[in-house]
Amino acid sequence: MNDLREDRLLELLADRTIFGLSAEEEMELEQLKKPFADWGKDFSLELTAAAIGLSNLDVSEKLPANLRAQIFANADEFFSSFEKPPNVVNFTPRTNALTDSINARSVVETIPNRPFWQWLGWAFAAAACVALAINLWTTRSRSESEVVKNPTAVQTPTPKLSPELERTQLLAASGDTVKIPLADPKNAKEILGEMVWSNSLQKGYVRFNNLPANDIAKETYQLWIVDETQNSKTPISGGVFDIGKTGEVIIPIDPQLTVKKPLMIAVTKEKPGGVVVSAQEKIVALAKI
Amino acid sequence: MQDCLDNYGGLVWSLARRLSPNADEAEDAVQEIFIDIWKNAARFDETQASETTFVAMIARRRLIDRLRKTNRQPNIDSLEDVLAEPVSGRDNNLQLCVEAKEAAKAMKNLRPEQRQILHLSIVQGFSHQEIADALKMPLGTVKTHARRGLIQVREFLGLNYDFGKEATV
Repeated sequence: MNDLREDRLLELLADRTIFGLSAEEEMELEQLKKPFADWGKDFSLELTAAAIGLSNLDVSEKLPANLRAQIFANADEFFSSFEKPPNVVNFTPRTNALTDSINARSVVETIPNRPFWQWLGWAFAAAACVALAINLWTTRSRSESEVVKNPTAVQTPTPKLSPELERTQLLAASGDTVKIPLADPKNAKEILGEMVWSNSLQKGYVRFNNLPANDIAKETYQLWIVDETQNSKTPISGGVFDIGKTGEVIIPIDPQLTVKKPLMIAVTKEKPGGVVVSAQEKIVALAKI
Repeated sequence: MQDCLDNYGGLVWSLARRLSPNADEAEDAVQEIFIDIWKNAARFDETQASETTFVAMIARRRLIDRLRKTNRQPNIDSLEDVLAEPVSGRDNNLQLCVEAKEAAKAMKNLRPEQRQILHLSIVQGFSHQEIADALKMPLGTVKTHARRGLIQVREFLGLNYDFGKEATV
């Protein structure tokens, strides 16, 4: 009797995996599974179907950028709904990408500072302003009849500002922009540069004078933002950068998570490519906000 | 997170494109799948399957659920076109993970009708009714071939599960 029941259970599980079950079959499955203590742990048929579905799957097409940005935003929302990191991140440490990546997410966020579409409005507005200015200039320089008879499509230019100009713009643009000296942590009087940050725009820059060049084969510089809402041991990564020659450099701060209450900007030396959690052994510069 | 998307974004997107009626549906599905992955990550057991297969399982579960709820068809070629193409015609050795490679191997050892029905249902996303109509086969026979084929592939993959002792009720 038990064998018959197990056979029928297996049939239903297979049917459900491949085709789905009717309401009656679902009820039958509910009844049949009751005596089995741990049937719910069995994903073997689903895993088998998944493996079959992977056969010859062409994965050359990458995730569209807008969708990727949306997923990051969803992740931000999903993980921020937990006061503490959810159970899903408390895996036994293993050397596999899924575990590592989600663990990494719990330590230092790598989500863009704001969702893609939130920038779209600004991007479109800026593009529209530039297009309007060019259009006005070009149409004003022609006779009215020429303008009406021969309308000319104007290609909207997308000027790329240098970090220096962007920094200047930032200083002029926002009321909450702060400018703080970056000092040597061992000697607060030794000013190495300065940091500019706007929390409302989630943008900022660091400017250094004569920061020593780094050997890119051995190390990189990494920016960090210590946020009041984050554990101080796991500040938000602000991106990595290399210094090839001495002189003045301006580096954009690229926070990987929305900065809420910034307390400090730090620059450390880390292994090439940067790290998700810094041991904070080689702190190069600090700026307290 | 970056790594997770780098590693599995293309995989999930490809599955979603295959098993969704259109690109918009695929985009919505992919978002739901990643949330499912985060929710279910703790259930991943490396002794059972690779991460790739686990992620594919979560993805497939969501995609099939969406198809069934909306009663819509995936974005696929017509069943006639699919039937005209030999299942083994697209075989290559560039499988995504060891289970996929083994599953492909196991599929070759199935009876032709089992292989065909599993391909049409699991890979192409056709319903049992559509397969029965196209192959002019009774519905029950379609289901039987599919079940037996799936169970055989599972055995080949060594994923057999012992239901264990019965619970004391």
